[in-house]
Amino acid sequence: MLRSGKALQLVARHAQFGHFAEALGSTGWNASQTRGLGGDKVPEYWGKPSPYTEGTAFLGTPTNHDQLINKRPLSPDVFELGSMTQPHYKMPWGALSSIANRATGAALSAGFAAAGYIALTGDLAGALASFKANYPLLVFPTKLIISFPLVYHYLGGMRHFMWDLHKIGNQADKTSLLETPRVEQSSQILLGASVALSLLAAIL
Amino acid sequence: MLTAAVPQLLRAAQVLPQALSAVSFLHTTSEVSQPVAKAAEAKPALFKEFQVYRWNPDAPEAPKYVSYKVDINACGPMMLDVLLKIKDEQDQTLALRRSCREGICGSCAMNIDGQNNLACLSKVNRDPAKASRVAPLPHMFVVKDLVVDMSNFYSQYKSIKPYLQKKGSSDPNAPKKEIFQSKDSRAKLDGLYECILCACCSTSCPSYWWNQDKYLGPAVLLQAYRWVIDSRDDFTAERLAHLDDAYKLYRCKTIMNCSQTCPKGLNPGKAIAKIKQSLHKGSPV
Repeated sequence: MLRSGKALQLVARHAQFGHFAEALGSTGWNASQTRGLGGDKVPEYWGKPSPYTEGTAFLGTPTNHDQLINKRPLSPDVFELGSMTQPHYKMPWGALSSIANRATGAALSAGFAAAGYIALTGDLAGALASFKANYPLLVFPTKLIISFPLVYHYLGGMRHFMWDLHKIGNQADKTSLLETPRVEQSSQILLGASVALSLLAAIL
Repeated sequence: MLTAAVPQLLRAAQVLPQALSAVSFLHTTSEVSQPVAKAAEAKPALFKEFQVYRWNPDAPEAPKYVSYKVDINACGPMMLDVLLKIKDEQDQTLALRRSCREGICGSCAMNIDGQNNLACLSKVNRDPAKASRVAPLPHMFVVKDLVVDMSNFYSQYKSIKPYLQKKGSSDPNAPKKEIFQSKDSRAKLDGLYECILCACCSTSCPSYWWNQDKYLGPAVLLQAYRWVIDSRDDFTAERLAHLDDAYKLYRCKTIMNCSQTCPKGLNPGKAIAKIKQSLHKGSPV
């Protein structure tokens, strides 16, 4: 098995995937990206009897299926083969708006935690006043950086509420908010409206 | 019987014009009009580059894209035609799944130019300046080249019990009666029963990528909903309860990649939203 050749493994890793991939835990030449965010491991219950499925024995998969799976590479998903920057799957607007919602949410968590820390251990109002006085040119971009996640995440959240709670007709009726063209449209509107509103908030 | 007559008819058709010309008193046209075959206007060769994901389980190399140049003017219009032409003429070792060539079996599902689609329904982009990229379904274990391991997907489909379950007598010898269903109830199944289980949707879902063993995925959940709102099925409550855990249904984050990529135009994201509403309400929505 090739994996036992440590020297070859190291060469392959450095040649193709660089230190970043190494640091994130991908191992061997068949890890073309940090799949599963834990490297190239086979998921815990994949193809095995579990609380989720009864396993693959009913299909007639061979008894050494586990060993075969471990040798197989994962096909490219987000990023292209051997790259951490070039995209592979062509993400539609809906997917981009969804990941932006997650990113803005994480940014808000981090931002509010930092602001809370400063407020609790020091003087938040004072810190803000001194920032405004010392860096007057940075005030507008900073306001923009703070307002955009707030506005986007709020509007994105409202959209999720509408999706989850609105009355959906039959599958064949193309009238719901979850039809593909409407999702694309709403994603573009969400982005545009967020940019506009956050610019407004930053100017005022 | 008819097929036996065809060769005889053909022979008669061949002989007839010559026979007619021989019989001069019939004043047939002096030149026997044989079907004149127009010289087929040969199209100029138009080569386009196709980068196809290749991996051989028997060779120790890493997966890679191999470039093939194909004359798309001498080939059918769909990606499947191109792939089979490559397999015929350039590289017999290319492995791919295919069967019906008309978008109903679901075998040739793959990632073409970044989107999951059926190769037999995916028209080749005729711009020769752009190279087309063909890869297997995303985040699946590759058996060889474009063939992926679908066994986990099928075991997930089995887990939702995709068959009619009736309460009452389980006596197999009891006389079977027709189970009536109103037109409105039957209309609820439109957009659900047409699924061909090609797995384009599930393998386009980032949530399924990260939790492939526990999250059921849009294809299986679409079918779960198909049985939930089937008025003839008596085990609706059990079906809904089966989905009520942290992973099987609720890993869906309404990313909606599934509906965007479905080659049959179905909407799994919408069906999943309806399952969530049903669980919230306690009865099928």
